[in-house]
Amino acid sequence: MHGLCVEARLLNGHGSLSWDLAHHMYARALCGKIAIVTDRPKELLAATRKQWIRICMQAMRERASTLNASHILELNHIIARMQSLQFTAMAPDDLLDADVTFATADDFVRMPPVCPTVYITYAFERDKLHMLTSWLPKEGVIVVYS
Amino acid sequence: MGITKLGNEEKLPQYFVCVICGKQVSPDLATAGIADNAHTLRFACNGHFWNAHQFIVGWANFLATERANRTQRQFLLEYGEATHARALC
Repeated sequence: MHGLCVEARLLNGHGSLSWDLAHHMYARALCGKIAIVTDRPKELLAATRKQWIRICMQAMRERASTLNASHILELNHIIARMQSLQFTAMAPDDLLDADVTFATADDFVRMPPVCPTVYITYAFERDKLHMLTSWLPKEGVIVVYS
Repeated sequence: MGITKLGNEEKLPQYFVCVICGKQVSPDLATAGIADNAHTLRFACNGHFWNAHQFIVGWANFLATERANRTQRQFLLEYGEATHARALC
């Protein structure tokens, strides 16, 4: 994790993992692709996508309720980006195809993600963590849930 | 919890400025956001996650401001006002 920003997050009974992931992704989605390391990719994808759609609907409500032209323009950009985001739970073969990829640590060790944001949602060996974050850009962010 | 490491060379500051409310927030209570025009990572308070309106509009405001600054800088550069453009960076 050389030269990367590391954020540790604790759910502590406040909100679910998918809720927290979707909110954090809202702020990071415009940076580029996202990799989510999870032991249950399909289940977490379904839950996170549901929360993502809820945030998208809230953003649409905000757009409808404001008269500020610059807010409307910016929310248009954000909503368009949110709606076009592609999710996948398939292990990557090469570079990440989808915008948000859910896979296990072993899958990402085989094919380290080249993206600015990685979420770690379960505990695994530290050497694997170093291997799967080896190709992250310098300004990348790793979010570790505990 | 919160931000525990900031790059390899950079020392973790005592506080970050939240892009949503503008208040100083300790790294323990901060969450990473998006980079600004100067490619510096910006942060927000963790607490804003709980207020959807503030959270959504706050980040949209930040992005709108950054976009406006970028556009103004581009405009000044095109018209040869490089000094003003550099001052905006």
